Formats: sequence, structure tokens, C-alpha cells
Amino acid sequence: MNDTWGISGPTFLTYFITAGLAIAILAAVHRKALFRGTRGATVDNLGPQQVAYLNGGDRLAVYSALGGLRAAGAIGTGSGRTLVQSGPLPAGVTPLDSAIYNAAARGVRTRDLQGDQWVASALEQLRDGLERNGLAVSAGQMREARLWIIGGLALIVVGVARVIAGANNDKPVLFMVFATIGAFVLTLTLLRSRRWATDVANRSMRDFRYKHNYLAPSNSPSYATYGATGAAMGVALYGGAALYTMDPAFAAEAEVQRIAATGGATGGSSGGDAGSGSSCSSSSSCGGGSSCGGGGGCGG
Amino acid sequence: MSGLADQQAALVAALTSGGAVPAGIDGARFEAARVALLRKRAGEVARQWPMLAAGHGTRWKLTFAEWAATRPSQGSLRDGWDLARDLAARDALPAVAAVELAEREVAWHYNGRNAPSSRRGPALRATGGAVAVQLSGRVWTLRRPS
Amino acid sequence: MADTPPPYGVGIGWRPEIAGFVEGLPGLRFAEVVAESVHAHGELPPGLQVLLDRGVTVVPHGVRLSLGGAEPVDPERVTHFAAVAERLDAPLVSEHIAFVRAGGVEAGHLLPLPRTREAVDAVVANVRRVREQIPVPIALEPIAALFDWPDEELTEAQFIGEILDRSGALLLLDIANVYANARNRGTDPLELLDQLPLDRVAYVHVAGGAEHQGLYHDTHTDAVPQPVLDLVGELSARQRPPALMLERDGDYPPAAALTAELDAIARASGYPSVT
Repeated sequence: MNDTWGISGPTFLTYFITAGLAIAILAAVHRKALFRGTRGATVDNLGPQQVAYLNGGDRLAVYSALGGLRAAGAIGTGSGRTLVQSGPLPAGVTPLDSAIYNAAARGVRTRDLQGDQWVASALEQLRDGLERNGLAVSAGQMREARLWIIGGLALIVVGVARVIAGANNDKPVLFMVFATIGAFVLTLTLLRSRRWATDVANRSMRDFRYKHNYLAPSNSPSYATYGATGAAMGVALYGGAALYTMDPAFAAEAEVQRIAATGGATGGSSGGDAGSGSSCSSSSSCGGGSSCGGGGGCGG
Repeated sequence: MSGLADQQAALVAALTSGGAVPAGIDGARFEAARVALLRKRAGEVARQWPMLAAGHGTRWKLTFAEWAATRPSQGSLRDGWDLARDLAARDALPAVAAVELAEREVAWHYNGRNAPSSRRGPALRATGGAVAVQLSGRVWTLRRPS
Repeated sequence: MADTPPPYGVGIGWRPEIAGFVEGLPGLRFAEVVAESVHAHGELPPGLQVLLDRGVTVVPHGVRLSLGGAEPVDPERVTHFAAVAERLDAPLVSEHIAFVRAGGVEAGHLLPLPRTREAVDAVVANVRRVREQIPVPIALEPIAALFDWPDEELTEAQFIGEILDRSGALLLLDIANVYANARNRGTDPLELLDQLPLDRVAYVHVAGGAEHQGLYHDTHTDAVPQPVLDLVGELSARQRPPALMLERDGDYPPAAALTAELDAIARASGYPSVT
């Protein structure tokens, strides 16, 4: 009765699981430290595009700028899903706004905006400021956090090798298979977790979002009333879906994805916001938000 | 009170189902009220079904008013749903609206008679060229018509 | 409402679409919310809760009770209305002198009643049913109508006066409706003002409208026209109401335009600006 590799099954399994748990715990502790952010930092004074970056990275920052520019009447859509300029650039815009506005003059498509060199450099500027303030997680920190993936991969390799060796040795390998699957899941989790905001920023964001609840798509906010900044902030806090509330035709033409802003209460699946009708659909006593609404006569 | 009840029923029928204008009421003014009501309903449905309205662009109010002229309101959610299904059956549903309809068809159960209720099980639906799937409350669009 | 309640001044109709704007009005003490849009149980919309926490009076405004319907009001709707009034801790509630459904069909619109004694009876009976469940006073709002019924027995002032007298209700006077009806009927709005029991006005609606094909539509989606503001002045000169509020229901303009309308109402009524 030879133990595979000279180690008994139960002993090896114990080592293996211990190693897996150790990686999970150390990675979590390391992340906690890496992503803590600067104590006392707050999102309260940030502009919409900065808030958007923290909630959904480069893409949401671009969407937020699109929302602001669209609300100001500066851009529209042309043929073939391209952007076009439709009015003058409003005063007081950010570098990202100007970069997108200029890209629109060249008929760039929305999905190619991030690849535009001027847009990319404006995004970099945005990112740098947030990282300096301890609000955004830097690419370096993200890389460092992902180093633990190597540990996970090593576990998988060892696990697979052990399963093969054990099977060849006519040993039961079922538990080892499960443990290897566990290592796989752990690695995948480490790989998938992309984040932009530090813990400090996330905490501050919660209050900020509550304070700006009136911009949530479920309220059908009047962007004409809130202006371009309100529109941009709505997208920053509530994701691509807010662009669809604001200007459905534009959002569809520009192929805006309904990405959710992380930590948001938007429940942003890839699609339907059919939930907007949910609370009222069955109740007899729910007649919409206005006493009247729409054009035409009202009488009340 | 049957006098008042009959008067009111006749007025509502004329306003919502294309019935005859009750005797003694100014026809032109009644027509103005009827058109205003249809426009208002179109606005309410557009809030519930933004892509359906956006897909029709400037023709939305006219399209809805034509459809709704003889159909009393069942609430804006159901009105938009019924119209979208009618259009899909006639291959006249705009592409962006097809996605919106498909996403709701998989998320909700609606039999055309009662208020829609959310689905418990998974669902897959194709309508107007759009295909959507729903699994434990999450909705994905598998195909968008172009 | 006891003796002389303190005046609220200028208010606004709270709508989710402009919740952020309403929240930002520093001097606001009075607002109205569509009763049917508020859930009887569960959390209030944050924007509305903020107003309540600040001590702003929020009045639930029913739009679908159908007080003027020939059939009795739906008890379920009354229960909901009462629950909302209690949640908001409202000192009064309001509804319309109108009907919105008949024969089992929803009109989706506030429709005018024939000005007959039978219609007065119907409204009074329904108001009594509502008051059995709601302890606070109810204010009734006469509507704007594009058409009138034939063979009417009462003038508008008589019709309103009789309903208020017999039901004990207060008056929610929509000054834009007064303007719209007078303009479309070719009558003098001041004449109606002089005939109405202005001492029973709980508060006043001020809204915008537009003319289409010779008829003035009370749309709530257009700017408040100057003649309506002038009527606010005339009304306030006769008897200034405790509160006047801007009622806007769609096509919301930029914040600056809403601010300007609120200030115009304040100027016309002599109340301090709330912006």
C-alpha cells in the first residue's frame, strides 16, 4: 500500500485545504490594506465624471460625459452609430468633455471612444487625481492584489497532478477533485474582482448616492430641470440605464450598455427595467406620479 | 340615480371607445377633449415604455392615439404592452422596442387580461426579432434586431 | 382647520421627477403629493421624507377617487387615501369635483359633472363616505372642463357653493381652472371669484396651459401665463389664501424657470419668496 508521493490522502488533503484557506485569508487581508484608501477622503466634492469612474471605471466616466454633453445639446448621433456635434461646447467643461466633443467631430463611435488618444489621456488625468486622493484603486495596486492568483494557479496545478497521480495509483480521489474545484473557484474570484473605488470612497459613496436619490431612473428625473451636471451625475451614480431614461433614442443609437454603477441600488441586469412598473401594476390604487401628465388637457 | 349613472357611462364610452357623443354636448369641444386625453395617455405610456415611444420618434403620439382611440385605458403598463404585442404581430415593432418587449416578456407573466406579475421560473422569448432570456430574475438579451 | 391657521405661503406640487429641485427650496413650507403615487405602507420616497423631516406640510391630493361618480367611491381607494394622509401626518386632504370612471370603464381623465342637484347629491354622499375614514378636513377642487353638459340647473358658483355647504368641505381653488373655464366659456373670471366662498379656500393651485385651436387647455406642462398670475393678484386682494402652490406635471423646464414661476406667484400674492 504505497501513499501517492509518499503522503497519505487525508494528510495531503489537509495540507491542500490549509494552503487554499491561507491564500484566501492572506489575499483578503492584503486587499483590505491595499484598497483601504486615505482616511477622511470624501466623494462629496467630486465632479460627475470622477464619481462615474469610481462607480464603473473608464467606461462609466465616458458615459457620464456623454450624458452631460447630450443634456447640453452638444452632441447627437449620426449614421452608423457614430457621434456627431450638434451644438456648441458649453462653458466650464472638463478635459474629458472636450476630448469626447472633439472625437464627435471626427465621427468616432461610442464604443471606440476609450481608444481615442485624447479621450484616453483625459481619462488618465481623471484617474491620476483620484488615485492621489486615495479614492481610486490604482492599476499597480490592482496588479499587486492579483499576485495571489499565482498562488491559486499553483494550487490548481498541484491538485490536478495529485488527482492524476492518485487515480493512476488506484486511490480514491473524489475529495481531492472537490478540493481542486474549490481552488479553481478561489482563483476565479481573485481574477474577476475588478474594482475602482477604495473602501473609503465606497463608504462615502453610499451617503452621496442616498443624497442624490432624486437622480435615480426610477424617479424618471427631469434632466431639463437638473441640467447637464445633473444628467452626468445621474449616469455616474445609476449607470448606463440613466442615459436610457434621459434620452432613449440617443442611448440606443449610441449603443450605450446598461452597465450598472457598482454598489448602486439599480439592480442593473443587462436589460429590463420592467421593475419600474412592478409596484403599481397590480395595485388598483396606483395612478402614476402626476395628477395629469403629458401634453393635452388636464383639468385638475 | 340611474339618470346620472347612465349619463356618465355614455360619456366615458364616447370618450374611450368611440361611442356617439352624448346629445347636447358640443361636438367640436368634446373632440378636443378626446384628442387631449389620447395625447396624455401617449405620454404616460411613453414613460412606462420609453423604447417603444423612442422607436416611433415623432410619430409616437399619432401611432398610439390611432391604436388607443377605441381602447379604454388599462393602465399605461398594460396599454403599452398590448400595443407592442399588436405591432410585433404585424411586424411593425421598431427594433429598439422589440428588445424592450422581449425583456419584459421574460421577466413578467402577462396574459393580456390581468395585471402582469413577475415570473418565478426561467423564461426564453423571441419577439419582433429580439431574443431575451431570464434566469432567477436576471435578464439577458441574446439577440437584437438591427 | 381651527380659527386661523398660520399661512403657509408659496408651495409646489411634489413630483418624483423634480424631487431634487423641491428639496432644494430653502423657504418651502407647503407641498402636495398625488395620493395615488404614495404607497400606503413601506418607505416613503427619500425626497418626500426629507421634506417631512424638515417640517414641511405635505397634503395628499387624490386624483382617482371619482367623488362625482354616480356609484359609491371604492372603499379600497378610500382606505389607501386615509392611510397616506396618516403617513404624511397631513392637516387636510384634497380631491376633485369630478368623475373618472363610469360603467366599469376608466376614463383616465377628470371629467366634468352635469351641474344638477342629482350630481350635487352624488358628490355629497361620496364626500360623506370619505370623511367617515379620514378625520382631517377635505378640500374639493372644481376642475377645468373643455365642454359642458346640456340642461344644467345650477351656475358654477351655485354648484360649488351647494356642494361645500352640504358636505362641510373646504375649497381647493385652482385659479388656472377659473381662468381656463372663463376663457373657454367667454365669461368673466372675476365674476366667479366674487361669487365663490373665498373664506373657505384651503389652498390654491396655480398651473400653466396653452391654447390649441381656439381652446385653452389646462395642461400643467406649459408656463403659467400672465393672466393667471394676474388672477392670483385679484384673489389675494379679495382674500389671500393660506397657501398657493405651483402645479406642474410634465415637460419640466430648467430649474431657473421653475424658480421664476414660484417667485412670480410669491410676488402676485404678496407672500415671501421660497426660493
